[in-house]
Amino acid sequence: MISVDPRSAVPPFEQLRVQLLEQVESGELPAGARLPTVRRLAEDLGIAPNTVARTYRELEATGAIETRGRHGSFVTTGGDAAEQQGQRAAREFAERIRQLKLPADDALAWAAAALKG
Amino acid sequence: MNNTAWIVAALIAAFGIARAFGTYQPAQREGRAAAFARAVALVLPDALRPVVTERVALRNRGAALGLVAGIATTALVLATNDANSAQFASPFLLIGGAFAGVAVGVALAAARASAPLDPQAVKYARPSAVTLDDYVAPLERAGARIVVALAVITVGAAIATGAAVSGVLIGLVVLGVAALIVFEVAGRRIVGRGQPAESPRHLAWDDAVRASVLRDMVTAPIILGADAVVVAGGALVDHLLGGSDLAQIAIVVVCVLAAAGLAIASITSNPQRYFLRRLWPAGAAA
Repeated sequence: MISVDPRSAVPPFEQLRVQLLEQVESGELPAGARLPTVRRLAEDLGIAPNTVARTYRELEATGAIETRGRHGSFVTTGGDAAEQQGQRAAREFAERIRQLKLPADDALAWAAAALKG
Repeated sequence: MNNTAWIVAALIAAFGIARAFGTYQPAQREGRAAAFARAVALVLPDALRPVVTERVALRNRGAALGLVAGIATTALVLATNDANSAQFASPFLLIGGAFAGVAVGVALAAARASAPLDPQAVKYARPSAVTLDDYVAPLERAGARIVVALAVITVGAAIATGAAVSGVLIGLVVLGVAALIVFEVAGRRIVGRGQPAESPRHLAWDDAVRASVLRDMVTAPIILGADAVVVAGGALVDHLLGGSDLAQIAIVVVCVLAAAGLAIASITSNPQRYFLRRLWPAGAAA
């Protein structure tokens, strides 16, 4: 279940993004699960379709979900368990960098250096 | 259509009118909502009582008025049809017309249902997409398709062998196919509609009403198809075996047993709570 509080100081986009990401990572939304359409989720949560579309785009960029044309958006089907855990760790890393408002290029360089070391 | 059929049609119509009026009576509305809550095994909290009672009443009113319209339309068609050819098929068409009417009535009521929410309230939504399969048990959905296909095949066989096929029988099959198409198309539209909810339990209740509407809709093609199989099977056997009463009775018995078997399988699988098992496996949250 996801919820959006219109009175919260956190923007609806962020509320939605964080909850969907948490559910993907926890497995509550399993790999291959189809997400509601943008219009449907916007109607359910009483928010603008653009907000949901932006959330989906953001999650797609992080690799948490994928859009399969007209079939809709799905939770990314990962490879083996180790690969899935690696993807999850990468998403958590990206999330932390975003929270710290650090440049993405620097973060990538640090990650590359850490992997080489 | 004989006098008995007219009397039965009038009684069913009177029952439908009484049920429709009952949806305006506070005591009956409360009673129906409570009975529905027991059937779907959901707690009805006071905060949701007015919304749920209204939704259940709207659905019941749609079913009752649909029943009346279905019976009246079918009786009118039968009254203007060739009495002799329609004699055997009349009761079957009346039953089918009643169920088709209910299906149309609940679908229209579902399309009208809307409850404005507080724009400042927290809204809840399911993060995964839902489909018809989440609301209607596979047995019922596949059953509708199989029965309607059987009806088309049986009527086709009756026509191919030169058996007497009345306009009423053709009407039954056409109605059965139409009811199946309406269920698949309108059902998808109903499932695709938004479900604004102020709590997970609110959402569970919306699922419950939605599931009951869709189950009413899928019943129509099953009944119409089964009716057509019985009538066409009777005509086929009559033609092939030269009017053997025993053979006609045998086919009716076989069809009734098959329908009873389907009904028992459906009832024992507790279809009115199917949506709970599918969408709320951990139970509907408070």
